[in-house]
Amino acid sequence: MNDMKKNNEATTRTGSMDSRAGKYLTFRLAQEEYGLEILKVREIIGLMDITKVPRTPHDIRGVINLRGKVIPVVDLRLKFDMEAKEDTEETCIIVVDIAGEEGSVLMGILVDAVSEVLDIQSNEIEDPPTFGAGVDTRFILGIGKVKNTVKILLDVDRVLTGVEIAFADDDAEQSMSVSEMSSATV
Amino acid sequence: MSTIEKLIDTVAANLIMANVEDLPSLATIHEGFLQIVRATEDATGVVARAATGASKLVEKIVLNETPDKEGALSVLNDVITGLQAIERDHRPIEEVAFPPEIGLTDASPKAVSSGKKQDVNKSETDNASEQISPTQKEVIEPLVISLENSDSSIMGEFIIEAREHCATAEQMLMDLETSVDNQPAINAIFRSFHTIKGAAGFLELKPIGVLAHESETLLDLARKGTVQISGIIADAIFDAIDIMRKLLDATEEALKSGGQYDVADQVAPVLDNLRRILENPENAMISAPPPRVGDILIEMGAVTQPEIDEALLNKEHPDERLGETLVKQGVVPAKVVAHALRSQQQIKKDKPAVSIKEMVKIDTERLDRLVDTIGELVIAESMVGQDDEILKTASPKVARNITHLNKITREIQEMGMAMRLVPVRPTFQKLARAVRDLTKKSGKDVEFSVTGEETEVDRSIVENIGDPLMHMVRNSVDHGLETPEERAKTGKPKIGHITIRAYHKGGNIYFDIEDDGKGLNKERIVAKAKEKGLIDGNKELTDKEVFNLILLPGFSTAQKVTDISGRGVGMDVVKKNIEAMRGHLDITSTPGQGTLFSMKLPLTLAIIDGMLVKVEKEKFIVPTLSIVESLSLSKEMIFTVTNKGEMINLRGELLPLIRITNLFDLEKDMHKDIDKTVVVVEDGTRRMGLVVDKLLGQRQTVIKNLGPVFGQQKWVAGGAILSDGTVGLIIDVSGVISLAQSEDNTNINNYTSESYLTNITDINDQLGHNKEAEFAESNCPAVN
Repeated sequence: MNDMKKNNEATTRTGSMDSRAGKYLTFRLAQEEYGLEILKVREIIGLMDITKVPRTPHDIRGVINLRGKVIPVVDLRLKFDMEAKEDTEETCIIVVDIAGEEGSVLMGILVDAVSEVLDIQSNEIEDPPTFGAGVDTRFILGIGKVKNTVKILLDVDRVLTGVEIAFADDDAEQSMSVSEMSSATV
Repeated sequence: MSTIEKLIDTVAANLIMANVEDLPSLATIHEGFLQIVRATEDATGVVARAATGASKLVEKIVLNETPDKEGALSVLNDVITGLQAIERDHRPIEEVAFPPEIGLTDASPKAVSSGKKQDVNKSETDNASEQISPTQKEVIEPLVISLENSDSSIMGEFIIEAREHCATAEQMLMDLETSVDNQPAINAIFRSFHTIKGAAGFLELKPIGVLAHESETLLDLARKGTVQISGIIADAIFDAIDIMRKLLDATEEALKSGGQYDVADQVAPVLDNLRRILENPENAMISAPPPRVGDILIEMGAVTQPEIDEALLNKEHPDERLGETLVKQGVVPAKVVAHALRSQQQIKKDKPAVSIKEMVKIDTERLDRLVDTIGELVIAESMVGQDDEILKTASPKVARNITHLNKITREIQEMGMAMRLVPVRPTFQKLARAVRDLTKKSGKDVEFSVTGEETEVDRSIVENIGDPLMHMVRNSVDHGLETPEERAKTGKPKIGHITIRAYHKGGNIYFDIEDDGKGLNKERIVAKAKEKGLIDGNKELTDKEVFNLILLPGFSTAQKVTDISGRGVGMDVVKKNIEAMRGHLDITSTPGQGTLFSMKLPLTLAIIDGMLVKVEKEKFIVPTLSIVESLSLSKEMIFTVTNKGEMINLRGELLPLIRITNLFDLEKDMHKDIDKTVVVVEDGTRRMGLVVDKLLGQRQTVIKNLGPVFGQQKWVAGGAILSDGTVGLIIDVSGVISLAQSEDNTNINNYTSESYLTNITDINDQLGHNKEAEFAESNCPAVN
């Protein structure tokens, strides 16, 4: 296979080939392997102190200080209703760029462990099967079959914008800012 | 595009940026002209000769051989325009006129006459009228901004720069209002328009070019002393600047949307006005060179007008100066004449120098990122510096290096902060301009004075302070000050005064707006407030409370609403704006003597003064502005309602308590030192007590937005990065109070007096508490 051609497809996402083909960062959650489009990944950081934010859904672990920026961290296990697990040495946070309504937003996702970067070709990708009512597959781009294993390729925008929608139902009030806060002060 | 065209365009671009004092850029231009000469095929052709002449002129500028450098630069511009006409537009050589200064053989003989400066200007204006008059119709018709084939990045830069030029020109015009003969200022305005004209021509923005050209011509007359920039001429130029700004806005719009903008309607009246003045400048204004010695002598009372007339008639020879004649004829002693001459010199010298600082433009985003990174650096530095391992080490070398690192970090932090600071001068200038316009409209005489315009404020504040200030200044002119007749009646000077001050005090920045008008009418305010049902009928109000009534929404005592403002209308918006910046507005007023609005603002919006509190295992920051007081809590102080709602009696006032632990459903910390404290907070209308475990001390922290994910969380105002690098949540007092009030009491129910008892065991451990607070404070760097 021609490497150049492959890369082109992956980055420019044009042509008749499957636009899902490309490089993926794979990580582990329990026994399952997931993949994130590499272009969405900003960086991978080790586990750090996470400040809990009260009164938020349980899958939001809190906020961290990413070199001066405060970004939310979502525990993907909890997000997918998987069993919670103690953090280990391998636990880490993948910082991703989410396309929000007002430009991109940085978010951290907490995963069990990061595996590797894989080049997945279009002939290795299948549409997600339908499981019926019990399993939501809307946030799955496809299933990558690599070396007898299965990688669940996530549409990270969908996974995480769900986080917002879940409790940001009142859009008009969405931006809490300095002005909101200080209207309290006289 | 041929090589020669490219070369010409390069030189044209360089010329736009050129400054007579900037030798390197002049050298580049010089080299550019020589390259043009080399690129021409025919070394004796007009192009080659014109370029050679131009390069010689550049040399003269560099060598200080020409008396009027600015004029020489505009000659160079004309040369380039001519060259462009030949090379790019392929106009016949005969049709293209070159200025005589560059020494083409067909140059007019007067170029060598002694009054060179005059001729430079004259030939320019001549050219101008030649260009304009026969083609005037054509010029007006295509006043359309079209950006079909332009380079958007160059265009963007042009717009930014042109706006700056407009601002400079406006500032200088304001200066001219007070000192009409301020030659450097006139030159600066001229130069601004000239630069805009050059660039607009280069970018084919015809309307802007034409407008700049006409203004420039008028300013040129002012430079020569034919006209004075005051009265209607100043107005015309102010108008030109305003329209110029609108044109730039339209250009920007066109740049974004790609459309065409027909601006002829806007430009035409201003252009007509300028042209009318140009046709007959003497009518518009008679020139007034520095006062003559004779006039000064008359003013001093040393001579009378007839004596001077006589002296002038009796001059021994025409070149003799008036002073000499007067002394010779014994009319006045030499000493007096010398005195008059000195004061004449003084008047000539009294023009403030226009200084131009070297500036670099930086993308604000980059700047913010730099400041963010510096903040991180500070935190990282303190994390290293406070590390247990480092503190344990006995090595003096490590300690010394750490101290050194600390010092550098602080310095960088200060510099970073300073970079965000900008002077309030441009904001004040806008106000001065507004007052000038308002004065004309309202028919009041107003003297507007400004102090502290060099005060530096965070960029974010400057961006937000303009509107409230403008509103208050308008109010002062329109309603605060009386008409000249009213003032005369009350024995005040006819001219009203409005003063704006900016100054730093105690870590805050203050803006004061003071007028010497009639002051606020307390009775009317109270009556109005009662009428509108804003206050209870019988309550006695202090002065301050009365004045604050005008800040309430829907309050207006203005008997007439003018197009300028209605006092009170919008004061609530002003208040809101100020509070949005975490500031405070204070009003003082004395009937008959005036009103003072004093705004107190934090130095920067990025930093918040907060009290770090500990609740269970979590730390929160409560904005100091919302805190009234704090006190330690003991069991005896608490009253309950139906065993649920808790409150304390605070000096006679019942204060509901909010338990943060319950409200936020925090995980209980079993190992904590119990030391309960009530932080009394208020949000303007409501007052409550937040029950926290401990105060960890007051500190300034950088506010970080939590982003859209937490948009719904009204109780949190943002995040702050604490000294250990973790994020602390800043509590929004108003949000928390609302939350607590809306909460059905389920959470509070969970709380029983029993659990309270277990918690309240060690309330008297004040000493330990204080120590810890101090320690925490000293550990916490003030993050940028």
